Amino acid sequence: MPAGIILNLIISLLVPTLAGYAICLILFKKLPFNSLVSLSISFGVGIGMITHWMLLLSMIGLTYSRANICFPLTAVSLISIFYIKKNRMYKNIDRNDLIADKRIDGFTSGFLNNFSLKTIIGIAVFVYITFQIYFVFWRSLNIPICSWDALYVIASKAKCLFYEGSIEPLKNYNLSSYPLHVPLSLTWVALNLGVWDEQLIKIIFPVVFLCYLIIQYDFLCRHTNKWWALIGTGLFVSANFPIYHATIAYRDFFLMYYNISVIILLLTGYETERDQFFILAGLFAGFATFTKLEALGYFFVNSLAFLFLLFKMKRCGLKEKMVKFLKFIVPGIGIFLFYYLYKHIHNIGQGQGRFLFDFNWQNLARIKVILWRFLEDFFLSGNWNILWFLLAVSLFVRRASITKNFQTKILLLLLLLYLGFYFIIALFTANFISIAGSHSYTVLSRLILHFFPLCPLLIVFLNYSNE
Amino acid sequence: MEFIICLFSAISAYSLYLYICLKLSPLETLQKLLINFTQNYYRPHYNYFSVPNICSINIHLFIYIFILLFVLGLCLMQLSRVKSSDSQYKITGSQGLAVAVIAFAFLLVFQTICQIQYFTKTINKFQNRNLEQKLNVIYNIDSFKFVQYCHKHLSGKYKGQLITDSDYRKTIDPYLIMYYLYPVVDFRQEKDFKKCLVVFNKKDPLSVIPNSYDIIAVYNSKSLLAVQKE
Repeated sequence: MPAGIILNLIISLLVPTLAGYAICLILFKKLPFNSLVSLSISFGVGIGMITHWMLLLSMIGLTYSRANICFPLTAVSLISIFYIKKNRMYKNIDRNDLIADKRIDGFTSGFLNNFSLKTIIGIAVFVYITFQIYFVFWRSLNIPICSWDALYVIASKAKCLFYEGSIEPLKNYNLSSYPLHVPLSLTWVALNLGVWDEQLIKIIFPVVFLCYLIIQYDFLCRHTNKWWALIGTGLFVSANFPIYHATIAYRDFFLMYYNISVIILLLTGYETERDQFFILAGLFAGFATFTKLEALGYFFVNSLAFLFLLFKMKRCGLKEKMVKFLKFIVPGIGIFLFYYLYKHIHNIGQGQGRFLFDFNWQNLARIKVILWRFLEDFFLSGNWNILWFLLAVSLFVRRASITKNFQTKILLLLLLLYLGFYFIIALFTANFISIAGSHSYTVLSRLILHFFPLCPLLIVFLNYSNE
Repeated sequence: MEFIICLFSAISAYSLYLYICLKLSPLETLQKLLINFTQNYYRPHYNYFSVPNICSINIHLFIYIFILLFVLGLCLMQLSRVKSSDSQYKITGSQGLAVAVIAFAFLLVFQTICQIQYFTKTINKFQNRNLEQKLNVIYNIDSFKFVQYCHKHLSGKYKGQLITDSDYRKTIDPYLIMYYLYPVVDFRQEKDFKKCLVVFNKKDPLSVIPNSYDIIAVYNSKSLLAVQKE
C-alpha cells in the first residue's frame, strides 16, 4: 500500500480521535483513564462529532471536502487541548481527581506474577484474542463491501454522499429515515482517501472493534483482575456474530459499541461519583441514536437503569439526583433532536410507523413463537457459541452472588429490560414479522448483538465474585 | 475416580440415546459429529451462523443433552452415596458449571479450527487480487456481469430507471446493479441528466422500451440498456 494512502487513513482516524480527546479533556480537565482507553473513548466521541459536523455542513449548504471538515475541527481541538493542558500546568490537580484516577486504573494488577494453569489459560486466551483482531482487520480491509444492507442502505448512501458532497435531498435515498452516522463515517474516510475505495473505507469497523475490546477489558480490569478481564474479552470474541459484524459495513457493531459504552460510563460515573461520566454517557447515547433507530429504545432502557442507579445513591439529595439525570439526558436528547428536527423540517418520515402498538388479545398467541425464536437464536444458533447457555448455568449456580455484586445486579437488570423491550415490541407491533417471523433470523441476531456484551460481562462478574 | 465413572456413564447413556434416536451406530454418530465439528462449525450465511444438524438434530442440542446427562449422573451418584450413608462426597453446582465450561472450551477449539480453515480459504481467494478480480470472486453472478457490461457501453452521466422482474425482497441483484452503476447512472436524484433505462432479468424487455429511447446494448434475451433519444 502506498505511503500516501496509509497517511490519509491515519489522518481519517486521527482527526476524530483528536476531536474526541479535546471533548473528553474539556469535560474532565485531566483524563481519568490510561491512554489506550482514552483513545478508544475519544474515537467514539470524535467520529460522532465529525458526522454531526457533516450534517451541519449540509444544513448550511456547504459541500463536503477534507478542508471543510478537517480544518475547523482540528483547529478547535488543538486550541482546546493546548489551552487546557497549559492551564493545568499552573493549577494543582484536584485531589478528588487523583483518588478517582487511582480507583479506576484497571491496568495495574497482574496475573503473570505466578506461573500456573491460570497463566497458561491467560496466554492461550491472549493468543486467541490476537488472532481474532488479526482476522477482523484482515477481513475488513481485504474484502470489498458486499453484504445486502450495506449495498442497499449503508454503503449506497455513503457513496452518494461522497460523490454529491451533501445530504441533500435526503428524501431521495433508500430508507431515508434511517440515521446517517455510519454512512457519513464511511464518507469521511473516503474524503480523506480522495477516492471511493470499497475496502479501505471499512477501516472504521475494525478500529471500533478494537476500541470496544479495550473499553470492555478496562472495565473488567477495574472490577475484577487482569486474568478475568482477559477471560471476559476472550468470551466476547469467541462469539462468531460480533466478529463477523466487525468486518462488514453494517451499523449494528457501531450501535453495540455506543450502547455498551453508555452502560460502562454510567456505572463508572456512579462508582467514582463524577458527573462528567454521565455527560459522556449522554453523548454516546446521542451518537447511538444517530446510528440506528432502535437506539432511541435503548436510550429509554438505559435511562431507566440510570434512574435505578440514582435511587441507590444514598448520599445525594433529590435535587442533586435530578441534576445528574439531566446531565445524562440533555446531551443525548440534544443530539437525537438535531437529526430528528432536520428530518422533520425536510418532511422525511421518522420511521415510527413500525412502532405503532396494537394491544390486541389475539397478539398473545404470538408469545410461544417469540419465545421459541429467542431460545433458538440464543441456544441453537452458531452466533454466540454456547455463551448464553454458560450464562444461564452461571446464573443458576452462582445465584447467591447476584445480590452480592452491584454491577451484576445492574447488568442483569439491563439484560432483562432489553429482552423485555424486544419481547413487547414483537408482541404488540408489526415488528413481530421481522423479529419472530419465518425470515427473521438475521434481524433478531442483529438486535441481540446490540446488548450481547452483557452476556460475557455477566459471566465474568458472576464467577469472579465467587472466587 | 468418581468423575471418570460419571463421565463414562454419561457417554454410554449419550451413545445409547443417539443410537435409539437416530438409528445410527455410535461409531457412525461419532464420525458424523467429528466431521461436522471439524469442517462445518463456522458457516457465516447472510450474517447468520447456522449450526450443523445430524439427522435434523442441532448439534448444540447434543452438547446440552450431554451436560444434562452428566449432571444427572452426578446427582444419581450423590443419591447412592446418601443411601449408603457416605456423606463425604457432595455434589455442588460448580461441577455442573465446570462441565459447561469444558463443553464451551471443546466447542471453541472446533470453532477455531473451522474458522482458521475458512480464513485460509478466504486468504487464498482474495490475496494478491485487485478490486475488480475480488468483486468477480464475490459476485460470480449474472447481475454483476451485467453491471460490467453496462459500464462498457455507457459514457457520461445518466438518470436511471431499473426495470426488472427480480423480487426486491429475495435477491440482491437490483441493489447490486444500482450500487455499482452509480455514479454513472443515478437511480436516485431528480437531476437533469439524460434518461437511461436499465432492463435486467425482464421477460420481453423490448415491450417496456418507449419509442423515445434508443437501445444501445443488448446483454441477453432478458437484459438490455436503453438511452433517451437526443
